[in-house]
Amino acid sequence: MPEVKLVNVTKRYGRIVANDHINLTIKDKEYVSVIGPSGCGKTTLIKNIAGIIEPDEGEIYIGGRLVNKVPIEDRGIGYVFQNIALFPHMTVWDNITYGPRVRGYLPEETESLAKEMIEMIKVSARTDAYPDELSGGTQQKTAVARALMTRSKLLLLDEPLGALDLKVRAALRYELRRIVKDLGLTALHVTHDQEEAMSISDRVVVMRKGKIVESGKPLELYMRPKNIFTANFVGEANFLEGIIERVVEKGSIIDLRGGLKIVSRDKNMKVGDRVVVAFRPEFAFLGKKEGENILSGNITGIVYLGSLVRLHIELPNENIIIIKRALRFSESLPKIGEKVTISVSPENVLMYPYPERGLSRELSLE
Amino acid sequence: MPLVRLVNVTKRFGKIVALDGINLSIKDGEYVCILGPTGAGKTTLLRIIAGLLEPDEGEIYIGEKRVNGVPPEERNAVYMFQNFALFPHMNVWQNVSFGPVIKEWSPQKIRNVTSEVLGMVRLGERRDAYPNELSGGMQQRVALARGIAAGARILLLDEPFGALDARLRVNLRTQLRSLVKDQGLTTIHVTHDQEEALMVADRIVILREGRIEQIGSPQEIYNNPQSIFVMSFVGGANFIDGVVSNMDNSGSTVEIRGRLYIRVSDTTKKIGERVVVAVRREDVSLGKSRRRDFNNLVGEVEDAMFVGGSMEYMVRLENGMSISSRILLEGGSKVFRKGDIVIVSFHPDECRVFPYPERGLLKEIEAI
Repeated sequence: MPEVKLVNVTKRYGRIVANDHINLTIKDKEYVSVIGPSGCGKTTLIKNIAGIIEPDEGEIYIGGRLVNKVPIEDRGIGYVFQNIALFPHMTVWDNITYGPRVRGYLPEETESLAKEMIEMIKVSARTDAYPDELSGGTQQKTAVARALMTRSKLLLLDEPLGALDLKVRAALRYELRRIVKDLGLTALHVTHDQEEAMSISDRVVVMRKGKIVESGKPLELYMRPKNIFTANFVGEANFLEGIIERVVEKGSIIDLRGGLKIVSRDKNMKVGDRVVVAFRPEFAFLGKKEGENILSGNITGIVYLGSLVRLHIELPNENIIIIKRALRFSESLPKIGEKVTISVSPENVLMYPYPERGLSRELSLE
Repeated sequence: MPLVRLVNVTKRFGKIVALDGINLSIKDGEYVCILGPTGAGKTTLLRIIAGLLEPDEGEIYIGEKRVNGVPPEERNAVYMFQNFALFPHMNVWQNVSFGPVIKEWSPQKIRNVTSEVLGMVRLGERRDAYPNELSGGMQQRVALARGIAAGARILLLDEPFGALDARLRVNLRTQLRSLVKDQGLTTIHVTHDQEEALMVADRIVILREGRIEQIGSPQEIYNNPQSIFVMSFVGGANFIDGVVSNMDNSGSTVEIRGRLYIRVSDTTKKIGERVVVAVRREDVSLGKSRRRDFNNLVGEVEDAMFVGGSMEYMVRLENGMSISSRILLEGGSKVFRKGDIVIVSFHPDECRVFPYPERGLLKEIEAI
């Protein structure tokens, strides 16, 4: 039942508008992540919902109830922070049962719930261990169990995996999602890691400068971002400037710098409009493919990334594009200086109006 | 001739051996990443090279000079920065000229060096700005410029991008690498991020529990991991416990849980030997039909996650075991859903076979 609804939520710090008229609904049992560059207001957003700070304007509803001015402990939420906040002098068991004990809940009831939670989070360590005897990952899982002891159906996660090693982080993603889904919780998760957000959530909200830029299912956001900022922020992309030369049945033909042409399936603008086209490095193939955009250029760099290789290709108009290929069994790759041809399907070429304040400003992550 | 050389370097903290007989040579102009999990001894190693810690045993050479006992400020080839520790009350110019000033160079020389170095990092026009007015990337360039102006030829970087946004980190990495390469500096960069190491390093040193587990180029480390630990830490893989049940000229057969069999090309183990078969996630494909000459196992998709550019699947096999697969989405790739019954295929050549580890498999691959 804990649907979360924010209506025109605004929070200012002096002249800075950290949250600027945010409207957002998180459905019951939905797992939503919020991403955005440092300073975009994502942490302020989660603190507003938790009740750690009060918005200057707007309303916050949890499960249909207006919770502005309701103190944090009465909002029915579980909260997990980046900095693992276990009590160092208490065992795992005492940490987990702390909340119910100080609230004076029945010992038997607390005990059975705690056992259930420990089972759920799969803490492999002994429950009589102290936090400093546990790995970072296990400590953070214990913190999740403690947050769940409030019997809250709404879990707020503020960079919950931020303090952990990458490998641990990747493993805990699955765990977090599993716990949330198995218990039927609603979760809001703030992270600076796009991949984490993509893999863990039902929906990802992208913020920038206090506002929501866009939100959508991870795959949609990646494949069909509605604006340039999102296209760049949720993953790498090649951006090329151009002018629409013709609009035909299959899409728009765009004149790039230096007389190169590219076709996008998008048709939402008109002839003569200045545009930016974008395509992801992994959607470009080496070689010629019938019916696709064919571009050729010289390899200027090759970077191996384990299972992948990144090729830097300089086009005849001096634009440099990057393509990414999976290293397949016995596949031979071009060398630096070699001339190659690549194909990109018009389906995978996104088209946007040229940004008013210029392209590089729109791509800036700082 | 190597620029930095460590011979049998050992460092203990109480009962803990942080570094245990480290031997390492780093060439002039090389970019080396020290990669390992938390507590592997990475930062200790860096601090010993910087002179911020003295080893209990062993020698450290910079160029031809043995530098044990030489204080950090006199190892003046070395410069270390973490979190781009700039002086917040000094502007860009003052930060960068800090080293030359305390070395009491002539005002003329200080001016020349500072403006030359600022030009290198493309910050000549921001010389009057204070650190808090600069972006993260610019602050990093100022810190680098300060090191170069102070005469550093060796840069020591301790998780230099730790605090930054994941997407921004990718951009800064490549910028930093090309900058130090252009200046011909030698760089030793500590990180726990395997992707970062694969992207920037000429050579990667994998550190584990105070010892060097493997040294090699990013490709060598990835393509030829010498241990389960390295394969698990760099790139990750599926690790399957089994026993060699048969062998012929073209390979071996390994029996795994539930009386299933996996064909591998390896012939170096013995029949009856307990082994671990490792297959990279990206070498595991999912489909509707069996692939010829491949291992084909039937399973049900337990979890399908989109991880930005790739799909990551967890498939439960008929023997109850889970196997993961990572597939780069390349336009029209088929996407499977939770509950789909699929055939999991991987080629015998892509199976690496390790002896079963003495301390157990979990100990080698444990993440949490």
